[in-house]
Amino acid sequence: MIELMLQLGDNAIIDYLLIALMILFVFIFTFTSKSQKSKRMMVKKPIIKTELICIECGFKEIRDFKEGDYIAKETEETCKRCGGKMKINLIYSLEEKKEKKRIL
Amino acid sequence: MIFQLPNDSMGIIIQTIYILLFFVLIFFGQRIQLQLTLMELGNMIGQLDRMRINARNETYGKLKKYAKKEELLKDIFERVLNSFVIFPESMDPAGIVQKMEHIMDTRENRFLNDVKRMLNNPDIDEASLKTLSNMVEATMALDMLYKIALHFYLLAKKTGNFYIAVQLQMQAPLIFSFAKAYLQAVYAFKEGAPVGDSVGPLVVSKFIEGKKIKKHHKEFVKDTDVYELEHLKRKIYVVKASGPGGNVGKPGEAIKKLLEKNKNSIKIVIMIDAALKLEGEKTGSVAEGVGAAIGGIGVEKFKIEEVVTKFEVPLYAIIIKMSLAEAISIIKKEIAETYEDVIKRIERVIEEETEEGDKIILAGIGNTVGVP
Ligand SMILES: [Zn+2]
Repeated sequence: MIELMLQLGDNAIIDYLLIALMILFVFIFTFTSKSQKSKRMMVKKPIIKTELICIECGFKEIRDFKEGDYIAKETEETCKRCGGKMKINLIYSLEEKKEKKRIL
Repeated sequence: MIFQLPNDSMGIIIQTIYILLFFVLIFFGQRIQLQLTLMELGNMIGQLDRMRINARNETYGKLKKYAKKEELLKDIFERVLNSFVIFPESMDPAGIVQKMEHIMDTRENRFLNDVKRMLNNPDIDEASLKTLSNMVEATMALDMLYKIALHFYLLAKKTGNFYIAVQLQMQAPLIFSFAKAYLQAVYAFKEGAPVGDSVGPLVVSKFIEGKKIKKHHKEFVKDTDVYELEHLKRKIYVVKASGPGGNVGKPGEAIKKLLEKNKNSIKIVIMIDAALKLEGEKTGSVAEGVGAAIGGIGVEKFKIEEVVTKFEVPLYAIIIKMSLAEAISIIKKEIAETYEDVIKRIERVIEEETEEGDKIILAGIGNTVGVP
């Protein structure tokens, strides 16, 4: 590297360019690594869904989670197909698909 | 050209810069690196602090909704966050499990009473109270994590010791995954929705759903229910923490009591629990094995192992795999949906290992938040 520098020593423009390039690399390196890290640290509020099932006919329906929901609780909603009572079958969180973007 | 230097003097200047840089890096390289590391750690500490404050605010806001007197809440909340547990001496380990259990029981009672006191609200139901205390616990854990990380960061800064800084830097990804998990736990308990760890109680709750329950022993032992039912022409005792508040119960104690009551007539014990997966394993994959599938500090595990050994009862385990973060944040779809598969496996194990008319214990292990 130094030898190369010495050979090019008579050409000042190339020297300046090299120095500028090195500074540029340092900047790019520090900024990209930082932004990637802070992305990894982010915590998103989860999206919670409640899956209801009709006690009479087994019709399933998914709605947003409401406070006070728990599994097997009978809710006020009625079945859209037969009008029967519904209870909570499952509660789960969904991940946003956007987050799964891969960086390669 | 801006600098009109003769060409060869330019060469000399550049050469001198390189040589100087060479010596600077040799003698001060580590110090420069220390500064860089400290800078990075400073960012991490800042981020942890934000997470901690976020958790505190969420918890405090939730408590405020139920609290009658705000001054009282503020006072006790601060005190509870700084409370501690001293674990028993292990130099002479005989009897340490009982000591540990005693101390943890004391702590739990004290903690729950403190939460009651800070709310000063007689109308609050037991389930919400337990979920709230779980939320405070997750906040405490995050607070502690921050304090420890800050301690090492300041120590590295004070002593200028590169290796303390590097040690913290090496742990950083793990510290972050823990912190993130605790923050998600705070969110989960805030909503009162099931967490990943609830999959054990969820499975047994689905198992008894729609079957005729012969007897429901509420509070069979502290915070734990037992359901008696008949299925596949066998008598099954289902053990589960009392829900739907956040609570792990004492499944070990319940299994012990059941085995002692039904001397030699119980054929097998099956335990269902969430287990930590290895990186690369699929979340929600199910595996079968033998042994006591139960986490925690080991008191309940010890009890189960002791009692099944005493009565020579085979102990089977079915686990659902997930990461730590998934275990304490709101249950994911792929974890929740494993219940059908797990129930099929339970029925298969029962048919393979027992005869008609046998008695079986089925225990769903984990925090039963959101699962009645
Ligand atoms: Zn219907």
